[in-house]
Amino acid sequence: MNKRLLKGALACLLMFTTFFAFAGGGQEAGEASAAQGKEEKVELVLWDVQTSNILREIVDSSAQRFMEDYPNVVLDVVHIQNDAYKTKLKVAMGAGTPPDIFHNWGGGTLKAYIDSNNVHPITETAERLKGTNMEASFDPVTFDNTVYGVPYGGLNGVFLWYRKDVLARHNLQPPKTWDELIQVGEALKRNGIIPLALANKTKWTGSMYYMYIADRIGGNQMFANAYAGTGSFEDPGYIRTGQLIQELVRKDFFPKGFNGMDYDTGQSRNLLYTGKAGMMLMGAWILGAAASEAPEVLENIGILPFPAIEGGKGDPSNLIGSPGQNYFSVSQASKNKELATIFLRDYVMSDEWVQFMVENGYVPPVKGAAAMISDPLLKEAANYFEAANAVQLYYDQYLPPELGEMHKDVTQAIFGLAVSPEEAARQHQKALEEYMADQ
Amino acid sequence: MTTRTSNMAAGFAFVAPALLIYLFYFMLPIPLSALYSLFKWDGISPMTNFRGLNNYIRLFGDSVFWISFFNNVKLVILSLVIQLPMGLLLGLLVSSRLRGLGAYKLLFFVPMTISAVAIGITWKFIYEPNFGLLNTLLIKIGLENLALGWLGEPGLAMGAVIATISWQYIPLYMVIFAAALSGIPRELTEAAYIDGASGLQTFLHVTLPLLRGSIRTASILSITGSLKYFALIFVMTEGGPNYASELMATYMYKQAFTTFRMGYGSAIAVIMFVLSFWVTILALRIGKQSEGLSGT
Repeated sequence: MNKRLLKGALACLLMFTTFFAFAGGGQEAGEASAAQGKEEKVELVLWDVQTSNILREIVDSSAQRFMEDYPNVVLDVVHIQNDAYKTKLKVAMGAGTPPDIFHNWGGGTLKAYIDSNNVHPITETAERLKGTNMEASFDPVTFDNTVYGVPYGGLNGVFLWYRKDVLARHNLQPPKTWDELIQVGEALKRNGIIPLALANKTKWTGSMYYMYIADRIGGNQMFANAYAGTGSFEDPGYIRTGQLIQELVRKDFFPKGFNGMDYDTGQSRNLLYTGKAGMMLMGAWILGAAASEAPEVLENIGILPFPAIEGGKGDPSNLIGSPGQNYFSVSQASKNKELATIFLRDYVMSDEWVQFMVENGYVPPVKGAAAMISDPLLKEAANYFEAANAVQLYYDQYLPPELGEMHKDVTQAIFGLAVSPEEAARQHQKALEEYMADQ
Repeated sequence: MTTRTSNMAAGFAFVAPALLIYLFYFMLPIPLSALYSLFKWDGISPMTNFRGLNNYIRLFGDSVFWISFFNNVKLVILSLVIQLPMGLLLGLLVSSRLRGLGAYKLLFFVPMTISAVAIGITWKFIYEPNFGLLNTLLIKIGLENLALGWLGEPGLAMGAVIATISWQYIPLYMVIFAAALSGIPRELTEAAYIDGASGLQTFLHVTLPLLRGSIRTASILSITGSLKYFALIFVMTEGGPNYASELMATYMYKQAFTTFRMGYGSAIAVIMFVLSFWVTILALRIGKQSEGLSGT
C-alpha cells in the first residue's frame, strides 16, 4: 500500500519536474520582472549575429540605454552564431514566433520574409533617418518604395588587398588593370608566391571575382537587366567573365585545393598574413579580422579597387559591397511594433553608435563618413565608397535564396573547371527562368 | 488486479516524459514531412500551394539528388568494408591478453568522445593543402606529388571525408566487438586449441560464428548511420566542391533551410526514411535467415 503510494508520488514528481524543466526558461524572466515592477512590463526580443564581432558591445549598450529610457521595457538581446542564425530565424518565422527585432542582410532573403508578410514596413521612420543616414544605405531593404529595415553595420566594399612588402621585395607595382594583374601574378608565381589567396569552399568568396569581372566587362546594368529579364545571364559579358576566371585558375593564380579551403576558419587569410600569398579579394571586414588575428601585418597591407578590364564597359570606380551590411527589421508578429520601431529610429545609428563604429574600424553609413575616419586604410575604403559610381549588392544576398545558392554553386564549378563558361551562363539563365515561371 | 493496473499506470507515468518527447520530436515529424512534401512551400508562408507528387517527380529528374544518392551508397559500402573489419581487428587486439593494452584501449576510443564538429574542423586543418599536417608530412618525406588539395578536388573530397568518418566510427565498432568477445566462454577456444586448431582456424570457426549477432547489429548501425549521415560532410566540405561529396542529408538541409524549399527538402527526407526503413528490414531478414541456415 505504502509502496504503491510512494511509486505514484514519485511518478507525479517526475512528470512535474519534467514539465517545469521545459517551462522554466520562460517562467523565470516573467517572475523576476513581475516582482520588480508594479506597472505592466513589456518584453522585446532582438536577435543579431554579433557573437564575436565588436559591434555586439554597441548593440548591448544601446539596448541598455533604451531600457533606462523606457523603464517598463525589457529588451532582450540574443547574439547568435552566423550560420546557425539563418536556420534559427527561418524556423522561428515559420512557427510564427520570431523575435520582435531581427538581424538580416537585406536583399532576396529579406524579400522572401516580406512576401510571406512577416516583416513590418517602416518607411516613415526611414524617411526621417535619411536626414543623417546615407540614402543608399536603405537600398538593400527597400522594395517597391517601401522600407523594411535600418542599417546597423558599416559601409562595406570588396577590395583587392595586397602585401606591400611582398610586392616591393620583388619590385612589383600594385596592379591597376587586368593585364597588370596578370603580370604581377606571373612574377609572384615565379618567386614561389601564390598570387591570389582564395578559400572557396565558402563559395561567396569566389563569387566576388565573378561579380567584379562581370561588372568591369559588362557594366553595372548587365546584372540588373539579366535579373529583370530585359537582359540575360547568357550575355557575352557573362561568358567572358567565366573565361577570365578560368584563365586565372589555369594560370595557377589561386592556392592549391582552394575549392576545399574554408574562409571562416581563416585558411585564405593565413596565406596573406604569412606572406605566402601576395593579394586577396575580400570585403573590408578583413581589416577587423586582421586586427585581431595578425595585427603585426596590418601596416604592410595595401588596398586597391578591383582592376579595370581593358575594353570593358564597366566604370572602374564601381564597387561590389553593401551600403549597410547588417540590418535590423521589425517582425510583423511582434506585439510591440511601435516600441521596436522606436529602438531602430532613436538608438541604432545614434551619435554614440556612429562614434563607436568610427573608433572601432567601421565606416558608418552616414553622410560625410569618410571625414570622421582617421585610420588610413579605412579612410581609403570610405573614399572609394563615396567616389563609387554604383554599388552592387552581393548577388547571393540580392537574389532570392534559391537563385543565390544556384549562383554560388555554379560559380564554384567555374572555378573548379567543372563547367564551361557557356554552360555556366546557361545554368544561371535556366535557373532564373524556372524561378520566374514558378512565381 | 488493481495492483497490476496501478503498476501499469505508474509505469506509464515513468515513461511518459520520454515517450512524449519521442512521439513529438521523432514520430510525429515523419507523417508531417510526408505531408509537407506534397506542397511547394518555403517554410514561412501559409502552406497553400498543393502540388501533389510534383516534388517527387522533380526529385527523380534532379541530377544532384542522384549524385547525392550514389554518394550515400558509396558511403554505406565503404563504411561496411572499412569500419567493421577495422573495428573487429582492434576489438580482437584490445581484448587479447597482451601487456600494456589498457593505454591503447583508451587511446583508440578517444575519437568516439570528440564532437563531430571538432573532428571536422581539426581534420580540415590536417587536410589543408598549403600548410596542413598531411601535406607537410608528405613533402617532408619526399612525396610532393602526393601532396594534393584533398578537400578541394572533386575526385578526392569524398574519399578524404570517408577516411575521417572511419577514423571517428571505428572505435564504436571496436567497443561493440570487444564487448561481444568478452562474452565468449574461454572453454570454447581452449577446446579448439586442444583439438589442434590454429589461431586462424579458431577465429574463423569458433569466434566469428559467435560474433554473428554483434556483426549484424554493427552492420545495421553502420548502414542506417551512413544513409542519414550529415555531420562531417557538412562541416568539412558542405557537399562540395561541385556536389562531389553531397549526401542526401546535406542536400535535404540545403534545400529546406538555405534555399527555402521546405516541400522539396521534405520529399528528400521521405525518400531517406523509406530507404533506411527498408534497408534495415532487409538487413534484419538476411541476418535471421543466415542464422536459421546455420542451425544455431
